[in-house]
Amino acid sequence: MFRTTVNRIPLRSTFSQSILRPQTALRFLSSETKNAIESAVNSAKVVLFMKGTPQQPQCGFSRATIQMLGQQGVDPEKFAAYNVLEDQELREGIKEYSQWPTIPQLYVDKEFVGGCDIVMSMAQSGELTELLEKHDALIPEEPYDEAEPEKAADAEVKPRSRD
Amino acid sequence: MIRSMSKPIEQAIKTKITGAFQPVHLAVKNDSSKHAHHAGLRGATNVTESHFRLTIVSDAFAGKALPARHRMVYTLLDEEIKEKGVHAVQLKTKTPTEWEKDPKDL
Repeated sequence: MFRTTVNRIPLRSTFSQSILRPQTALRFLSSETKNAIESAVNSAKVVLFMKGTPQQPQCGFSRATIQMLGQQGVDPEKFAAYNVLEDQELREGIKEYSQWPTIPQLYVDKEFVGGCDIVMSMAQSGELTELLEKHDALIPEEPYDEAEPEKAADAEVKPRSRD
Repeated sequence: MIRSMSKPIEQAIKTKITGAFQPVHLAVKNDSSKHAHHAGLRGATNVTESHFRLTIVSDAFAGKALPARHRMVYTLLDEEIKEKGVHAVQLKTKTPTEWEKDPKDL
């Protein structure tokens, strides 16, 4: 499955705990937080903001989403997961940034895709595969294409070297 | 106490959605008991009305992509989510035409 790509976002500013009205909340998303979230969104083709890690999800919806991405064959090299439970600013900030009140949240190529229900629905309809293919985010179907000629060459060489 | 019988949040959800979307079909399921012991709810005061599963069939969703539909619902339930301790809302949002094609109930 996925390697641990739970990168911590370097957030230092104090995100006030004041009760934010939803209508004005965007104004309170500091530019520092916004920039950190933007760089997280840009850090890979497929980015998941989740509770817990891909290996140890801390919520059933995050677990279901990571499993679906795994089943789709998302390339670990093109995937990054951020654990919102590690960072309170990220946890609140991503909700304002995406204008989406729940976790997990999936981004593909910097575009917000949706939460668990949307990912599930898209997986069932085939749209998710289509989207991931379009953005070249899946593991190539024949990943050993390049390696095989080398093996073949080795095999030819070896008997000779043994002689 | 009749307290355990009352479902103020579920009722509010039904009222709001009915008012805003005039759904031809609406199902509200409360899954909270399945999640009452989850770590995410540790210390929460509301564990009886925290997780809901909604199926809404309405013309209001016509011509809108899924994220837009879900945002409409989230916006409507903003108070429940941000202030009343609703932790998760699973959504099926369909138009009557889509519903006819795939009439699965919850």
